[in-house]
Amino acid sequence: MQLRRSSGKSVSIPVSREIIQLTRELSISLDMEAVQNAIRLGTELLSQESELEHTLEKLEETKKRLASNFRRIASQALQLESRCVGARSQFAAVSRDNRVLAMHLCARSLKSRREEQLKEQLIQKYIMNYRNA
Amino acid sequence: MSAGDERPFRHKVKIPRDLGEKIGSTEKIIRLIKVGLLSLRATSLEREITDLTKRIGDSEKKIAELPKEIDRFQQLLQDAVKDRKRLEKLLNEKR
Repeated sequence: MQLRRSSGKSVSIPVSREIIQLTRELSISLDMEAVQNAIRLGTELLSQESELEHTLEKLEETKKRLASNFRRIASQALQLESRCVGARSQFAAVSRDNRVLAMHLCARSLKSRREEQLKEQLIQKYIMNYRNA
Repeated sequence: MSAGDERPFRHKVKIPRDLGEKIGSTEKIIRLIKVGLLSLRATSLEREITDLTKRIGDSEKKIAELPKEIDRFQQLLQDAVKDRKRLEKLLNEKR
């Protein structure tokens, strides 16, 4: 089909569904500049059209396989992250309780030297050196 | 298939008239646009594949590291529970 001569500076041509599908996949609109760029690229690669189609098919397969692997692996990672957050929160909660208990213990004097030593150790751990988990 | 799908496909694009006349036929223009878009799609897929590969690597790294981190927090929790018992015992001591 020859192009119809037009008095304007541009001509409109109908395009195939395949082209529209490709623009959707690329999230681009086919304005005049985009069309010119596509034509320039197409001119450079016209001799490799079938190779390009084959490459694209392989890339689509690879992407599909990787996306499936990623979903599986990301789900495992998410489960582990959730367990880690759980363990950390439990530790943080018990540590906070211990800090409160250690503060109460500060004012207490204990009977034996061994108990006083233990008291000092726990005060050191939960008051002097306390860090949030 | 809906009635809309059976109608002739009417999407059109505009190209500069001189470029159109230089290429010659509508079929050739469409073919050039298609090949150009195929090339762009290939580049875009390569980027997506690189991104997915990186994200898989990051997730695998997490899967390798997180069990050690979970063990560490569980050990710290066990120690903290023992300390709580000690603290409670000391607080319950008669003066």
